[in-house]
Amino acid sequence: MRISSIAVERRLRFALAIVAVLVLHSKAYAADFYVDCSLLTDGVGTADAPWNNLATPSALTFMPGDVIALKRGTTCVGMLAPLGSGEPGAPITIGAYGSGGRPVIVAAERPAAVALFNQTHWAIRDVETNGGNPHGLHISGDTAATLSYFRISNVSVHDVGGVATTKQSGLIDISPAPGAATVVDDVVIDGATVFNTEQWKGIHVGCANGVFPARNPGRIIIRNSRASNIAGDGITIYACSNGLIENNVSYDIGTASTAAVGTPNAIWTWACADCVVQFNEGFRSHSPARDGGIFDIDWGSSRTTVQYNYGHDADGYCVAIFGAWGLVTTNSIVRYNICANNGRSDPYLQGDIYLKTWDGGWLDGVEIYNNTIYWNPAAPSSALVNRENSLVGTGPHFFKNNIIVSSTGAFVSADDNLTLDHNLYWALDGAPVWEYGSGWWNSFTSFQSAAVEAHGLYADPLLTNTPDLPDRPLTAFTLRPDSPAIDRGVTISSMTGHDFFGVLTPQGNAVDIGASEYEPAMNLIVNPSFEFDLGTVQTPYGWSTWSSAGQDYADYTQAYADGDSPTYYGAHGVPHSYDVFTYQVLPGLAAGSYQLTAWVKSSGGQSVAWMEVNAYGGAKRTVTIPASSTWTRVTLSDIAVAAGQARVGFYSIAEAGQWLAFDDVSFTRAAPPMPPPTDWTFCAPEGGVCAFTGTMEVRYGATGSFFVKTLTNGTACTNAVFGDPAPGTPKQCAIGTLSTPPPMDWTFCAPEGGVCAFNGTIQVRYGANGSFFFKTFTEGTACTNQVFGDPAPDVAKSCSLPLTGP
Amino acid sequence: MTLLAKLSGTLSIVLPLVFSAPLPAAAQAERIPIVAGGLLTGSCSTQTSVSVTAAVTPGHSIADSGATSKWLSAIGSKAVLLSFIDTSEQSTNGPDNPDMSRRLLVFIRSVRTQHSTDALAVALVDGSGWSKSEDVERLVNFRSDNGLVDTPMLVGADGMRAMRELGVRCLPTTFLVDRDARITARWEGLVLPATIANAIAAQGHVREVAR
Repeated sequence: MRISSIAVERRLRFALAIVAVLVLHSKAYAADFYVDCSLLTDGVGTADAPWNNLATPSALTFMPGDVIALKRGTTCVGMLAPLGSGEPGAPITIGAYGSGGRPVIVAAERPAAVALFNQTHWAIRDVETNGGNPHGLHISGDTAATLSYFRISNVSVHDVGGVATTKQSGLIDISPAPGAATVVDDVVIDGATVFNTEQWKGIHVGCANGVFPARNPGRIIIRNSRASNIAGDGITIYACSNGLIENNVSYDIGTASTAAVGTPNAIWTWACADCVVQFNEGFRSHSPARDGGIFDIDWGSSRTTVQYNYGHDADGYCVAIFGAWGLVTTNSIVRYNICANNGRSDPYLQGDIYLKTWDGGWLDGVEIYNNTIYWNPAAPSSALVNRENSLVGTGPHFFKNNIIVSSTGAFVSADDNLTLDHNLYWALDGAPVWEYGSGWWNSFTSFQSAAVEAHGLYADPLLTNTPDLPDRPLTAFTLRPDSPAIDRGVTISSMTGHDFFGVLTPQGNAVDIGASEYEPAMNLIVNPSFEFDLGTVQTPYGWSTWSSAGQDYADYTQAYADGDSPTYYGAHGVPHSYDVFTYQVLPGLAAGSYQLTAWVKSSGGQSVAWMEVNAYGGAKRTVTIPASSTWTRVTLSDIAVAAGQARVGFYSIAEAGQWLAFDDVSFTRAAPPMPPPTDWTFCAPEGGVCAFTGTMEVRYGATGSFFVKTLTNGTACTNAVFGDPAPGTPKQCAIGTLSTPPPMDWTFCAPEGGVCAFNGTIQVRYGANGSFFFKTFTEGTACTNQVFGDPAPDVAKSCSLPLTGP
Repeated sequence: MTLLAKLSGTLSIVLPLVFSAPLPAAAQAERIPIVAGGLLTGSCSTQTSVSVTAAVTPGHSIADSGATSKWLSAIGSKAVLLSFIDTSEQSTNGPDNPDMSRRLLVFIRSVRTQHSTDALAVALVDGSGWSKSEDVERLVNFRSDNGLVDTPMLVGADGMRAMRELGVRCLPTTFLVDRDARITARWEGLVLPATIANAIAAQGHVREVAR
């Protein structure tokens, strides 16, 4: 009897709800419906009488423009699967109302917490889901139709139950049913937080079941989202065009215990056309077998770009490019990414940049450039791996302008179908190793002699904040002023014009190597343009005032003109005699040459009106500010800072009515003169003997801290000889070629005993392993000890000629 | 008491660690230039990359920044990642939305995930301005939705004061402050996690969460 009453009551309520919907919709415009699952009694979906369950709205067909709003701070148990479709300009929205935490939908073991099937034009926002099996939020279809316009924003989807048995599972999945002819189009997922599942996917959008051609005309965007603690992949797009994955973070993915379903990555795309993956961070990727990487341009993709991403601390690689299943992956670009401390658990030795083709797939067009790679693998593998792959077709295939800093010395293991050039290599420990084609080299000199990489460099890139290995992430990514990577890259036609950090490229005569472009002049002045105070104030922000007569009120900021957004400048002047000094002290300055400039104008007539620099380690310097009613630039250059600081400012001693104005103050460090490019070749470990003949530059140290001496006929490699540049750290000696050659790159000419033939008069380098003698000849020379002397006894040497252009 | 002060007082009850000390007399006399429904300053111009400014010299102390300094000192002796954000931003659901504060928070939360909480704190300042009572609900929801309920946050007039004290010109702006209260980095616009990681590593004493 009781059950029957409840059933009747439910049917009655359902009927009332239907009536409510009909009444509300009878007005021919969209309506808002309300759900408050904290209520004991069910209502009719209005603000005054909300529904108190998900079953009622899940049984109704909603109209374009309708809103289903769940009350914040409440929890509903069940699955929300409302019916109906919106239309262009009038989507149906699932959202929230009120104040507090997002409304929670607890799905337990239901198929999903929120589900839409064969529906279009929906927005889902401001809700949290807990549970579901095998999905949390699932949008799908099985008709031969295009399902368009889905907007998912500010949602939290977590703790989907079950264990993955298929890749069609996970937290947010928007894709056609398996085998269906459905197309998904125009999707934006913005601000989704997904976590905790042993199902496969974190956030996934699949546009079709076939791969060619992708038929969605609109954009597919996943941005500002976080995916973590997932058995399979973090964030993926499949079989779509115009995909964009940006500004996301994906970590702790790939926790599956077996590879039965697959091998995951943090953020990747496949069968994707014109897709971009940028400004993302991925870390702590895992896998039960292969992969376990961060980013991946996978099989069947065309024109995919992976740029400006940060991938670190993965078990596997940083970026992979794959071709498989008889499909071509075309025009892949991997640029300006930072990869650090990956390969943490990779028995498959995939490297940090990994290219692979299999089962008839191939790559046509691979451009990998200007990435900074800290390679610190747990197993001894190379940073770049490209072996036994099919790289064919008309596209370029190259690896250029990259920095590889390797903790093991292993840089490259690649076939010769991928061109190397303009890369900068540096081994933090161990002998450097390059494997290219069928060759193998354990010194940069021998590597260069093989003419594999004409413009490569082997040098400490001199990155800021050189890291300690191996217990912490490697986080030094920008170039120091004396970095050999500066201006040593080559222009690539597909470059975008800025580096990882947004710095425009190039800053000098050429682009830099690596993901960071060095900015030579950084203004060290606080509040240089006097805009910080957003108004007329005394003693502008960042500046201090001094006055011998207590007239510190005589300096202030002044607006250029009234208006909604006035701009300001600094000024001196009051209607009586005064003296005032507006200044700031710049601490923490590295020793070097600096320049102080400002734009000024003045009434003239003051007994003192100057810009000055003092307390920098030298005598006070001033420049008089001339009388001028128009802005004039004054400069103090070649300021040799040696005291670790400087005090800069403007000083007036004046009578009533005399004034001084100053703006856009700049204090910059002059770029130090570039040293000749130096190639350093390992010579001996600490405690050993570095043997050579003649006079050589010898560098001693480790991890970016070195002492250099010019020595003759060998040396002991000890603290006693050099001092200790890196206490407590094993050091080594390396021989440089600094002292003799002009800055240039060299190309192999002839082996020892051969003839190096050329036209004209040219300087010729002879030697090996970083030990060279140089002589100038006309119309060729024999390449022998008799001609040059012996720079490297008992070592096979060669002659090289300077390379005259890129 | 102004409307702004009322709002700040209300929030100091609702939200933990919101600074609500009375303003100095001199500060009371200053204008706090909030425009109706708008920002004290504009959005930063950089959308897709970080703008590292040297406007605050590394080593500059935050100790002179009045109320903000007191607030930060209450967080404890640790490095602080201090972000001034616009909580009024809404996703435009479009392909080119300029919601940099929301984008920044994704990375701020990632940095917080990767560092020990006893070594690095995250603190926020809402620079959106306060002009109507609905803003209280908006901020409560914002903090809840973004997992920031336990994150110290200055709002209302106190937030505006902090902006003025630290010379914030646009939103978002982020400072990295070391445990000795020195500003070691300042970024306007979207700052990428690699950049933050770089700056944190330069401090040398902030440790990462064990992996």
